[in-house]
This record gives sequence, structure tokens and C-alpha cells, in this order.
Amino acid sequence: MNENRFRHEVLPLKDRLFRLALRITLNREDAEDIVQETMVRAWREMQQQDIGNMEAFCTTICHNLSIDHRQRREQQNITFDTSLHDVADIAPNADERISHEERIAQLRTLLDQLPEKQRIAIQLRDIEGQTYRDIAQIMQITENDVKINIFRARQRLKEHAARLHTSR
Amino acid sequence: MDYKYIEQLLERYWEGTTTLEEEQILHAFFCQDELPEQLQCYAPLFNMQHQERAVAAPEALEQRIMDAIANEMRGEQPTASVKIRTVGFRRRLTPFFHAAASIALLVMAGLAVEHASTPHIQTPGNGSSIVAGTYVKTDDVANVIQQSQQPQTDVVTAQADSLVVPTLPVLEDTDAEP
Repeated sequence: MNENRFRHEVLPLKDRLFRLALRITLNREDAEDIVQETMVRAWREMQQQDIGNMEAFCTTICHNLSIDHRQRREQQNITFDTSLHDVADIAPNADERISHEERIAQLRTLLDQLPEKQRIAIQLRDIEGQTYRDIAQIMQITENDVKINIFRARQRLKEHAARLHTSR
Repeated sequence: MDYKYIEQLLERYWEGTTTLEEEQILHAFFCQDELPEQLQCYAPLFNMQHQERAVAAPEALEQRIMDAIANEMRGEQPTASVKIRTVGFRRRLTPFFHAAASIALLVMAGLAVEHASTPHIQTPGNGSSIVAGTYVKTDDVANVIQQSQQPQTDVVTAQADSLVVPTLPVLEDTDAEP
């Protein structure tokens, strides 16, 4: 019974959880380990009690594990995997023609360089389509704080998108 | 075409006040190939978000997860690392040495018991016999056999015509303690 529920409700979340873990840790191997650990914990919890909202439960676990992992890395002074994608110069040169794909890449780089809470809030809202209420629960902050982080992140992305456009 | 509605949605989007449904409208709009020039600058942002939604976990991760769950179901503990030790030739033979020594002790004990319980008679060729470690005259052998039920130790050689009284327990005294 639990195995059936795990296959149908938990396992399909792996891509979403992987994207969140990757956004926070900026390391693919770490993100894989975190997703595996998240699902094992979900399995263990399923043996103890009936989990109502499986997606919210798993996303919260994944978020917390990713934060803990990132903090441990910082304490060990381990640098992030910047080879995740090309670290382009986010200050575009007006003399250069930038292609559409290059602009996309630069905006992705800027997103990864945002403060952690802004980065997570944008990931959960603009990419995963979560409500402000669910994001607040996952990040363990207030809905108002969620809106503030999303506002600041979108303003920075808007400014950079406009700057890239004028550099054509 | 009037794009005022899209521009209004975009303004609220930057402020963080749009609903999820309104954001989906913006996403769908900016995925089009033809866009008005005043809005083209924001297309890369929404396109980037569209690409990010397609990021998937590695295919092998699912099997890793199921293997981990299978281990949970079996209740297995993480296997401890085992060091491989090289056992020398002499060390490998040690059990056999122990077994041989044990067998030798058992055989010796058995022989000792058998030797002690069985009377040993020899005829030195001079008419006397050696019974239980002493020389006695042949005529007295029968008597001595009857009396020589007690274990003896040293064998003392002596002349056939003389009765050597050893320092060992005297045969005549059948009540003597061995």
C-alpha cells in the first residue's frame, strides 16, 4: 500500500525537487543526493503517519536539506560549482551584439547570483507555479516576506533584461 | 493590436501582485514568435523561465531512489567497510598444528592408561622375570602377578638370583599405596 502510494505520489516529484535543490545548492551531484534523501525521509514518514499534502511535505524537506547542505559547504569554505553554466559578464558591452540565447543564459546566471531567499522565491513562484501561501510554508517565512523577496528579484531581472535589450 | 492589457499585467507582475492565472497569461504571450517591439526586451526572461521548467533529474536517480527504498524495506543497515587481511602460510597451518597436538595428547593419555592397567612380563633369560619393575625369581611369578595390580614406575635391573628391593613400593605389601 505504502509502496504504491510512494510510486504514484512521491516519485513523480523528483524533477521538481531536483530543480529546487539545484537552485539552492548550485551543484548537480548535491542536488541528486538531496532528492534521494528527501524521498527516503518521505518513505519513513509514511510508515509513521498519513501525510496529507505530500508535495508540500517533500518540498519543505528538500528545501531544508538544501539550505543545511549549502550552509555546511560555506562553513567548510567550499566554493560553489560555477561550471553549472557559463558565468557570463552580466554587464553587457554596448558594442557587442548579444543573441537571444545569450541573453537567456545571462538572465539565468543573474538568477543564480541573487540572494538565497530571492532565488528560492522566484524558483517556487515563476518556475514551479506555487502560491504565496505554499511558498511561505516551504520557506518558513510570512507571505509578506515572500512578496517582498519576489518583488526585489523581479525588479533586478527586469532591469537586467532591459539593459541586455539595449545592447543589441 | 492593443497590448494594453498585457502591459498592465506586466506592471503588476514586476510589483508581485499578479495571480498565478495572470502570470500564466504572460508566459503564454511571451512564448509567441511575433512580439511587439516595446515588449521584446522581456521575452528572454520568460523564455528562461520556460527552459528552467524543463530541467529534469538524471534518469539514473529514480533507480537510486528505489534501491534506497528497497533497503529501507529490508531494514538493512549500511554495510561497514571490511578490511581484507592477508593470512600467512604459517598462520593458515596453525589450526592443524593445534589439532595434531590435541590428538597426540589423547593418544599418549590412552597409552599411559593402557600401560598402567596391563601387567608387563619379560624373561631376561636367567630364570627370573621382571614384573612391574622388579626382578623376581620365576617361581614366584604367579604370586607376583596376583600382587602386581598396582602401577609401577621405574624398572630396576638386577641379578637373576637376587631379589632387588627397589625404592618403589614393595610388592609383598599389597596394601601399600602406589
